[in-house]
Amino acid sequence: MLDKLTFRGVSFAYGDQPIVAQLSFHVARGQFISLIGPSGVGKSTLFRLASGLAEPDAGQILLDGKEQQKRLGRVGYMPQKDLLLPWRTITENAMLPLELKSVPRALARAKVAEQLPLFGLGGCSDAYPDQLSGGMRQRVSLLRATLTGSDLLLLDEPFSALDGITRMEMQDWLLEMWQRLKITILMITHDIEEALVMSDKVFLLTEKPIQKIVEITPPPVSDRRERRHDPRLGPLRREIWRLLIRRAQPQPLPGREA
Amino acid sequence: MGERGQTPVIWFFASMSIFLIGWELACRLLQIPPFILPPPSAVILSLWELRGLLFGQHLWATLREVALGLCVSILFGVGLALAMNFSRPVQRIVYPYIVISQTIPIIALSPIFILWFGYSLSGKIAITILFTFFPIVVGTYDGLRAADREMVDLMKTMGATRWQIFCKLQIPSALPSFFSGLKVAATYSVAGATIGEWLGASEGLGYFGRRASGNFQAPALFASVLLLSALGMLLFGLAHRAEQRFMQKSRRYQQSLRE
Ligand SMILES: Nc1ncnc2c1ncn2[C@@H]1O[C@H](COP(=O)(O)OP(=O)(O)O)[C@@H](O)[C@H]1O
Ligand SMILES: [Mg+2]
Repeated sequence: MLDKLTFRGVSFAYGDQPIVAQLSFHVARGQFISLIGPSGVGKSTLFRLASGLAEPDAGQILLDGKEQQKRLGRVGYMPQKDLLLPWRTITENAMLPLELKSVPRALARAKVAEQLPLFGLGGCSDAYPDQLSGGMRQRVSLLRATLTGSDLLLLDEPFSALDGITRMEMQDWLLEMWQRLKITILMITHDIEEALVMSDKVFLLTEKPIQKIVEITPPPVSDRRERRHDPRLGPLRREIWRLLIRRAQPQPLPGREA
Repeated sequence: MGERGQTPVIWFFASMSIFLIGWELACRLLQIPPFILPPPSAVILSLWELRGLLFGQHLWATLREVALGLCVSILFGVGLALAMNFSRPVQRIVYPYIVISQTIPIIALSPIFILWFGYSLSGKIAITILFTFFPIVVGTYDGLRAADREMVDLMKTMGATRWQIFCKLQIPSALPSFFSGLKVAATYSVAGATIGEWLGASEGLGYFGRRASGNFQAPALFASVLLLSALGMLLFGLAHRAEQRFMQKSRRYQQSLRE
C-alpha cells in the first residue's frame, strides 16, 4: 500500500523548546487516523509541519512518497475554529479555495452548489455564518477543506466545540464523507472514545518532545458506528489511559484545551 | 430603516427642544446680558441676518479647506498604512513615530505649519491634514493587521499568495477600523480648519467667529459655532453612510437576489 504521508527523522523546535525530535511515522493512503495526546504536547505543530506552515529543522516530510517542493496548497487543513469569513455567504466561504486557484466564479459556485446537499447544507447557500449552528459551520469548514481538492485532510479537534448529540451525528457523517470521498484523514481529538470508534489506527503522543508514536489498532469492523457498543474497546481504552497517565505526569491529563 | 431607526431621532429632537427652551428661558428670566450668553432666538436671528456672508462666503471657504484636507489625508494615510503593511522596514521605521506623534499636542504644531505653508489655502489644508492624518493611518494599519492570524495560515495552506490574502482577507477585515478612523478624522477636520483660520485668514467660519468674538458680537459668534458643529456632524454622517454602504453591500446584494 502506498503511503500518503511520511515523516522521516523529523525534528522541530520553537526557539529552544524542542517539540518534535527524530520522529518517523507513516500514514497509508485512504486511512482514518486519530491523534490523541495531552494539551501542549505538539499535536497542532505536527499538522503545521505536515501542511507546510512550518518547515522541519531536520528530516523529511513526504507526500505520496515524494518530497514536494512546496506542501502549502497540497494538504487540506481544517483548524479547530471554523474560521468562516463573516462577510461571505456559505457558498462564498466554501468556494474560497477554488477562488484562490483562479477557478472561474460561476464554475466555483456550481461546484459548491453540487456539494452543499451532500454536506447537509442544502438551502443554506446564501445564508451568512452567524445564521448557522455550530455543527453546520463545522460542516461548511469541512466542505471548504475538501474543495481544496486535496485527498489528505488534517482536522484539528473538529468536534470539540459541539455538544454530545451533535457530536455523534457529526462523527457518523464524517465517516460517511470519508468513505464516499476516498480520502486520507488525520484527526486530532481529546476524546478516547471518538478516536477508538472512528479510526483505523489511533496515534498516541505521550512524551514531549515527540520522539515516537504509539499505535493502537481498534478491532476491524464493517460498520464503525457499531464500535460504540463493542465490548472489545474496553481494554484498549484502559491501555490508552494507562499510557497517557504514565508518561505525562507533569501535564494536566487529557484535559480540554481552552 | 423602519421604526427602530426613527425612535432615536425622536428622542434627539425631544431632548434638543427641551434644552433650547431651557436656554431661552434662562436667558430671559435671569436677564443674562446677550454679549455673555445670547438666547437661541438671537442666534437664529443673527444666522438669518448674516446668511449672505455666512453661507455665501465663509461656510464655503471652510468647507473647501476641510474637504481638500480630508481627501489628501485619506490618500496619503491609506498609502502609508499600505506601505507599512507590505514592507517590514517601513513599518519598523514609521510606526514608532506615528505613536509618538499622537502624544504631541497638535494645536502646538499648527503655528509651525502656518510658518511653512503660509496664510493661504495651503496652510489651512496642511493643518487639516495634521489633524486628520493620524486617525486614518492608525485606523487603516491596525485594521489591516487585525486580520485573524489563523485565517492567514489557513489561506496559506490553500496555496494563497500574499496578494490574495491582502485582497480577500486583509481589506475586508480592515474596513471597520478604517471607517472608525475616518469618522474621527471627519470631526477633527473641522477643528483643524478652524484653528488654521484663527491663526490667520481672510475668510472662513473660524475667521468670522474670531472677529465676532473680538467685537463682542456674541450672537454672530454663536451662529458661526453652530455652523461649524453642523459641518462636523454632516461630515460624520457622510462617513457613517459610506461605512454602512460598504459593509452592508454584500448582504444587501444577496437579499435583493433572494427577493
Ligand atoms: N508559534 C509558537 N511559538 C512558540 N511556541 C509555540 C508556538 N505554537 C505552539 N507553541 C508551543 O508548542 C507546544 C505545542 O503546541 P501545540 O502543537 O499547539 O500543542 P497541542 O496542539 O498538542 O495542544 C506548546 O507548548 C506551545 O506553547
Ligand atoms: Mg492544538
